[in-house]
Amino acid sequence: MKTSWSEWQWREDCLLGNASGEERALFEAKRLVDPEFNESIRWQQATYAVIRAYGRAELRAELKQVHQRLFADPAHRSFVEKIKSLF
Amino acid sequence: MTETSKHLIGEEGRKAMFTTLYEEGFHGVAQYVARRGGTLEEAEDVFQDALILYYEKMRDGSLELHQRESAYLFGIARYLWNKRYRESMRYTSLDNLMADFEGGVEGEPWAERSEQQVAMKRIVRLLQHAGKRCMRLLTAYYYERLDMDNVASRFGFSGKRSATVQKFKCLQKVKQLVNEKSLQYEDFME
Repeated sequence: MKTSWSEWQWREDCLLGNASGEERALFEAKRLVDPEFNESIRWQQATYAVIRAYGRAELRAELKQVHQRLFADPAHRSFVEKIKSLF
Repeated sequence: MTETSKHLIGEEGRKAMFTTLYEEGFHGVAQYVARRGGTLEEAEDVFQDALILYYEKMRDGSLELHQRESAYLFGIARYLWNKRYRESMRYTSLDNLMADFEGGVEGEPWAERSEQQVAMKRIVRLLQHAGKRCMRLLTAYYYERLDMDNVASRFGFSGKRSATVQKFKCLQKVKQLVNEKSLQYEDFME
């Protein structure tokens, strides 16, 4: 079942802590009494979890580039030699 | 997000920041790991995990430094090293490893089980090959926490509204993919 933009946004506000206490209470109550709604929320949460994992994976790729560039840079030779001598 | 952290999270600013942190902090971590029989690759891994957590805290404006940045990074890396290698939690997620550190970090209720972690890694790998533009847009908003004006300008949209419409389309696409792939992996739902 497709979720409308406004419905998605309301759920997102509740999940990511941007909704009022009243909205949040309504949301939690709906999750308790409506299994189909609750299931759909789980997939929405899963979507955010995947986006976060993707963001971290991309950040790690950036960090690996920084590491490789430092270790290949002649200007950092003494830094690299000091590190390598530890192992 | 603070003004300072906004300034630092553009790609070039971020790379410059990480390079400085590497120069200042990696030697101490490498020395600690080496003295405990670890390898250079393991030192690189824990240091990069520490940098990821540092970045996320800075992005959220929740970083309270009472010491030099290198000392803070060393503290996280040492904690991670001891958890991951001394307690043989090598394959545990970063969130689970950090659960006891400084009151814990924000975890993901959806991905607590190791099977879910594995399935999530598979989905992330799949998205890295198919769906890059959507994922770049979504991570700019949900991971980097840029506002929609900045997202629109980074991705060349005419304005906030068209960027928001595209973000919603991308979310639907990812949700559908997560749903399909997770059901294929079968070990997702409780």
